Amino acid sequence: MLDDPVLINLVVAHGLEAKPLIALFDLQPKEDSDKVYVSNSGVRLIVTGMGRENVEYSLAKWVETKLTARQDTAWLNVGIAGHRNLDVGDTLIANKIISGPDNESVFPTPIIGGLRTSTVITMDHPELNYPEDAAYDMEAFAFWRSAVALGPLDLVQSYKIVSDNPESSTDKVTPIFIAELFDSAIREIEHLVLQLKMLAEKQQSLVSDPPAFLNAKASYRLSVTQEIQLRRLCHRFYALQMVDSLEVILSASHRDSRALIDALHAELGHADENSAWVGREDLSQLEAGEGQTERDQAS
Amino acid sequence: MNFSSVYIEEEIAETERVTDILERLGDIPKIRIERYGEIFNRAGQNFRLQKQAPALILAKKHGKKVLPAPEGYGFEQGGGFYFSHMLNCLYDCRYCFLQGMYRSAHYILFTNYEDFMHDILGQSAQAGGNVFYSGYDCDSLAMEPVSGFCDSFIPFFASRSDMTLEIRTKSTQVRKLLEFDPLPNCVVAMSFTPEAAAKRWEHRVPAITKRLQAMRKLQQAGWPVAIRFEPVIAEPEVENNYERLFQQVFATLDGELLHSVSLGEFRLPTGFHKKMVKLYPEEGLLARETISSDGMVSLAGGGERMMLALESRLLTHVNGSRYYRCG
Repeated sequence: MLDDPVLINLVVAHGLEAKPLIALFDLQPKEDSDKVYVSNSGVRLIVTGMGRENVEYSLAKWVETKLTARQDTAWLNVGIAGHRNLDVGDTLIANKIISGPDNESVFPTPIIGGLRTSTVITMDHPELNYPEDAAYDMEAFAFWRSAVALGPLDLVQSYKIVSDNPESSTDKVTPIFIAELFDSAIREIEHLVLQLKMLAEKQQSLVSDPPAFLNAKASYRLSVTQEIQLRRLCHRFYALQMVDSLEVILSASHRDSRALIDALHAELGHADENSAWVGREDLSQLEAGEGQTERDQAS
Repeated sequence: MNFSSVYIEEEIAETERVTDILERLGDIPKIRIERYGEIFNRAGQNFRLQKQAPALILAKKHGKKVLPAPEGYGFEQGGGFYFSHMLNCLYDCRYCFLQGMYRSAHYILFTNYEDFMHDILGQSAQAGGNVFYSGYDCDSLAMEPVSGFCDSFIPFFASRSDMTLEIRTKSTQVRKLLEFDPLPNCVVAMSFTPEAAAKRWEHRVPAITKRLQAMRKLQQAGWPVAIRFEPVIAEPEVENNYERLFQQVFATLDGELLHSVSLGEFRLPTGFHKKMVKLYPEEGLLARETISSDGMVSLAGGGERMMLALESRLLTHVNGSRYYRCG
């Protein structure tokens, strides 16, 4: 089992954006913090403050002080943005994020289907003229840059709700208005979070240590090399659907870790002989007690 | 053919070929990029995750476009060349080395075909190599409706009878080829594994019967066709499985008209195998005992005697002069 059940980190700039997500995912403040919230359904929320410096500082500080970075959780930035051509209330997921001041670009992987996609341009100040056919925000670029260092690149995404455009200025973006925007998008956010959680869960299951390995690790003194070997051997037993054999070997008494690893190797080698090609000549040799072949271990 | 998005290099964005391709793709997100490497070569990507929703990248190939074919790759057994106008494949074969070779599962289509042709001519003139393979880093025909590969390269080779093109594929997209007069110097080579292996490991690949029907159409139209029985994966029933496959193939195709037939055992560079194991830790094929030699990994249960047994069965169906072992 995983020590940390978090599957997705939601990152918002402002408490007003956090509020509807806290309600949606039943999030509770962590360690009396008003910046980090967690749920028992695998969701963590981080409130960074507005602008790129706050995002960078907040994520760096969070990683430094809270826990080691996990490589298998999704990261989703949720926030509001202006857009030249989209209506207020429209939503989008970023497929290109440009840092406005220096024109540098990054590209979130298009792994989520069914949502409108758009370029997002991150500015240092609110963009009121909307020169490009793109969303304008103040955090996405810094978020992406920070988050890809913490999670799988493909699971770092940025989702925006259009709050202003040439016909509806930023003056109208009030706390009540933000609440309304989030209300109208909340089912879509929920679905997006669910999709990312499922992908992260699959990732975590692939990189997680097999339970049998954890049990064996607790019972034997292993060198670093032996730990790698044993983990891979356990994975191979699972992949070859030989869990019963694995459990029999692990439950037996072995002199030391080397003996355990040798026993696992021997069992896999024996099983592989059964899945190998056997020619007529080999059959006659096997019947005569021959037929041993030299094998390298790929573990 | 669904792509999650299409990335387009700025340098080629306004070319006629790219414009045509984009029209064919319809309404999918289009994203401008500087160079394909900023998407394709990034660290931290997950091939398996991306394979769920791969994007298409339209790019210009710089540098060497024609390379010496790996030793033992083709029917000419040395001195051949390959070129890759695409990287990655629409299909998802669990044994495929591409999973271990690239960081990204997105498909790259290099659209500067004329530069490839220029280098093919140059290579031919320089080294005297006259056999060119397409389909080493991709499936040459699978994306034909988008790439228009045949429209460009068939006329090119049609006017150069001293050169031979082998198009290697698992696709049934032969309609475009059938619109052309058959070229004696263009071989369409289809890869097959037995039914059980195909069902288990060749995801998204057309059924064997459909592929054989496509080959039959080509053969009846006069195209040289070839069969690649690759990769051979050692299993207890491998001989019987291949015997059934051989019977199926040679009942559908005229063995006397085949350009060539080959067998090749499952082998991978060690580094690729390691990456594939990490991507698919639950895959039984990648958990099997292996033998490492000269930087290559093969299955412990196979080997020379298995290949000789299969060869002997294959040669009861086809003349030995048409056979070669893919190394």
